[in-house]
Amino acid sequence: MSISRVDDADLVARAREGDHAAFTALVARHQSAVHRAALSAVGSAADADDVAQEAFLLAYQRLRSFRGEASFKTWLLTITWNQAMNHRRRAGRWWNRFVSVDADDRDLFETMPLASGESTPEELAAAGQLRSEIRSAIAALPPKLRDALLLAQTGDYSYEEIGAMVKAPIGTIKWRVSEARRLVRRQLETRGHLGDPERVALRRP
Amino acid sequence: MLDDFDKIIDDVAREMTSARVDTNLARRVAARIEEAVPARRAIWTRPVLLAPLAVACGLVIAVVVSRNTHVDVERVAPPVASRQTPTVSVPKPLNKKPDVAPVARVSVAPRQTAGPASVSLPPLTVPPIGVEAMDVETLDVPPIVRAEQIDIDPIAIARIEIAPMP
Repeated sequence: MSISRVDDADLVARAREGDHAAFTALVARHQSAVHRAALSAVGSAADADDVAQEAFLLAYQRLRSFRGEASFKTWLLTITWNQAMNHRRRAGRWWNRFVSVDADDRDLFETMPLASGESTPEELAAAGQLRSEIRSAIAALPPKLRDALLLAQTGDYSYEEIGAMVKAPIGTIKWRVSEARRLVRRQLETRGHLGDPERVALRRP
Repeated sequence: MLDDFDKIIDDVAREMTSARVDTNLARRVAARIEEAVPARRAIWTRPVLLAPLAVACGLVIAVVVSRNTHVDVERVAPPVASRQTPTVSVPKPLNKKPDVAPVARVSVAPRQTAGPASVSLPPLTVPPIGVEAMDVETLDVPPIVRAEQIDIDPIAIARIEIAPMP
């Protein structure tokens, strides 16, 4: 039987009996979701790799404690999120990494004016600047709002899974995502991006 | 307008978490699991640890078995009595039941005597002790109390004559 047709529960059962290949299949199946969750929390691809690796190892060690009350993916993501939170606490001001990566782009686009019309180099530059501003605004959000927004936009998780990860009700998660967007918009407004719709370049550079 | 901004915000947020996953992640995890599992097994299967453990277990079993075979006769007190022994130490002298302490002593005493009873020692050969005779001289001890003789003079009693009654 192809390993891709085996569901998580069967793979978990086989991994519990010492089948390393089954657990490797679980890793391959969920590594993207785990990595994105880690990246949402720690903000650096390299750190996210470390967190993901530690999370998978911890999951393997605790495999016997998995009771199947939630899905394996939810259980794994919860472990990942806890690992990521520990890493974030150790690392401190993680969002500086977003901002520092962003700083080069901002310098590049800062001197360029916003433009109207479509697809001109100036427009693309303005769009780049806007995106850069949005990244900064997201990075400056309160952690709980930022986490909810980033996790929700990965597309890998349902609101239920996000709620299980961050230990909050679904309604709270939805409110946090909405509130995060509102705060980012307000931030853009104060920087003059929201005043004149004609001047805002919405296209991705 | 706001919807458009929300789309951009969502798009940028998605972009912020869209780094490529390391293709070797699964392989690295598998390698670390392989490293961890044999190491854990090796700790328990090392003869250096297993041999002393086996010897210690054997000794414990031997002691328990030998004790059980010799002490059975002397076990007078029921196990409940021996369990009550710690409760005797509670500092409430007025509430102390008088029959608990003696029972506890009875349960402890056989264990103390059980050790020597179970050991079969060869008879002791004690060499005879020779003591030399001592010469003891007679001692003249003076009398402790010296009583002097008392001379008492005889008492002269005059004769009383009684006239017959009329």
